[in-house]
Amino acid sequence: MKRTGTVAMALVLVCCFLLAACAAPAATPAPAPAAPAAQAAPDAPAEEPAKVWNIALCTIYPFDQAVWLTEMIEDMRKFDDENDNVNIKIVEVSETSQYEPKIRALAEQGIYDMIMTQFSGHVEATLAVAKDYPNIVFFNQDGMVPNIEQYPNVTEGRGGDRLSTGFLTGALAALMTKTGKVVFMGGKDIENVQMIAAGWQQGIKYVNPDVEEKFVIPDTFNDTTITREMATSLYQQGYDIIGVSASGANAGVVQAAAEFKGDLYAWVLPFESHFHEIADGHELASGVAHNGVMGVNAIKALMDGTLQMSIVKIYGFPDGVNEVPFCAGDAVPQDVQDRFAEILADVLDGKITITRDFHY
Amino acid sequence: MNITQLLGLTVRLLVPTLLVALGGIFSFRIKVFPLGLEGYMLAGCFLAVTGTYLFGSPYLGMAFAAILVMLLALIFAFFVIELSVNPVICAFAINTIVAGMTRFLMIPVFGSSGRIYLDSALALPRFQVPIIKSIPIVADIFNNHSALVYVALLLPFVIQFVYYKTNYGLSLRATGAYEEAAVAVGISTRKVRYIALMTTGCLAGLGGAQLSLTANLFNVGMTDGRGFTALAAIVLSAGEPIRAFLGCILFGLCDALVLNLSSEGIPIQFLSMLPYILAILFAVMPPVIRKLSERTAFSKLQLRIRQNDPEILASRAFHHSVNSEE
Repeated sequence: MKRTGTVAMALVLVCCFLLAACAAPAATPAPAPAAPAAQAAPDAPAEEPAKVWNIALCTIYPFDQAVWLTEMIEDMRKFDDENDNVNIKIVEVSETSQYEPKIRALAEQGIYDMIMTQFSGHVEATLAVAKDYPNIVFFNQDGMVPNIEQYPNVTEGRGGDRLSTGFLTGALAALMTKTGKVVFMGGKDIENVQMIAAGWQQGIKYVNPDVEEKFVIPDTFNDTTITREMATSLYQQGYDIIGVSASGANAGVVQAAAEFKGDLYAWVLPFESHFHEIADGHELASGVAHNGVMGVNAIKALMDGTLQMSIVKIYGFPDGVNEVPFCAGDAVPQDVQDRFAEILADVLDGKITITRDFHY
Repeated sequence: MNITQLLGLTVRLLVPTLLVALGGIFSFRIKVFPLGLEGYMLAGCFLAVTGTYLFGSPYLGMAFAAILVMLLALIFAFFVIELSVNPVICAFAINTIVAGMTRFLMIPVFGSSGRIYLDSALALPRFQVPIIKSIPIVADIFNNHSALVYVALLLPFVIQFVYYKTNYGLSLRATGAYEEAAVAVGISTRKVRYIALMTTGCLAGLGGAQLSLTANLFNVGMTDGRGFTALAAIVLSAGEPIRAFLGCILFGLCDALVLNLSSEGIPIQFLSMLPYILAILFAVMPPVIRKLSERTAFSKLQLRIRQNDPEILASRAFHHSVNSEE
């Protein structure tokens, strides 16, 4: 029995080695075809093959775990398909123990012009690898990279102007509330969520300081059951607008708004994505962040040599990364829409200062 | 905080975990540690949504999930019973495979990745229960739920009956307690084990179906560790259905409390510890109480000896005489 097991395991191992040997090398770009020497005119300058830009995007979550990530990947794949001189390889780097080995393995291949990583989880590994590969550009998304000015080949992009988006949606909530009670639900108590909440709180105060606001945390980015029950409970308590930044769990709040059978109307203001298909007309607006647009903008900047290193760049409304579209048909009256447009213009012109001050 | 609302929320939150825990008890009883509950539940979530999407009925979706997860459990049973594969390793494999397969199958089945929303017309219907709906506080807690909620609330008592009042229950307990003895008295332990493992799959599949069809969507990783919570309830209850029910109520109440208190401004970092603190208390209290009662009994006995209780003296004299005769 023992012997049979050993033989079986040996066979499985051999199969694995064979499979690994047969597999095509991942993401190796096709070499640019060399011009045939015989056909080239002796005095004509040899045509330089078009530069192919190889980019690796390391996702900190599984591809389909978060709505914004799924959309980001779709946007970047579209850009890849539309541009023959761009190859984008997308790799899941979601296990903590794999962060540095996987990022280093990509760098070691020596074919990538830029390696994109995500959030603070990837920062340490990114910086460690960046130090050893000075010719590769490392782009970190939303990682709050410490002392970034000390890293000549590292740059950080903030996927969306969270403070402004939070401010604008908060202002809209204050303009639209009928009960004078609104809530912000942040998936987890992390800095990125707190930034949106900070903007939201200041937006409310800016429009109407008398509006009662609350900040709640369901402590999940996945569990729609929890966010849905929490939202139902909040609607029952008389809060009529819920702003929610809980990634995939946003859907729970949207469903609660759509199904709420109380006397008051229930609105939801989800961040990152639209949820029209399940909101049944209860989605007031969305604080959308197109992270894929940020990724594409960064690649374009790399290609035309304008990508700045050692800095943090916020990709916001002017870059097309953020927008706050109204969703609930004619639910937002014209005067509110006009007032909102004024506030948006003031925010973009820098007439309104939004700070990171946030309270629970 | 409104207590009625809190209890209503508890009922809604506990049901998926309860169904899974009740299923897991069948495995636990035959000494197969049900580590694959998370995988079964996730498969149930996915298959229920798929079945509802394909057949246009949440009940057919629910049946689809129960049957297919039962078949998955049959494969597990075959590996464990016939091939003597370690059930822990097999359960890990099931959890991993299901997590990957549900992600992978989203694309060919629904043409999307990450999550799928069902049409609101396919939502699981809720019922107004005739007598319950007219009782003021009880109605707020127990009325207006889906059929599976009522089934789940009755199931612990049914399973308790099956365990202690039926032949199958006796065979199951005998198989778990001492398999060789059960074989010796003519029980087909193989059959008993197959049925137990398949029942685990069926009930866990229904738990997953309840979770996804109540939310009317499937989201990657939507079980969020509920299978492991069910496992905790099974271990804490030592495989007793009614005690597992109480354990699930405790966890459901904790979840409901966390949701309510976090909106009252209590830090989530503290609240997220609450279920585990209560679980530890739940686990520690019975032995502590037993120890205390033993100590109390011992102190009473010592007191009676000191007070020259005639009954104790007579007993001591009897033992003394027996020893001296020997």
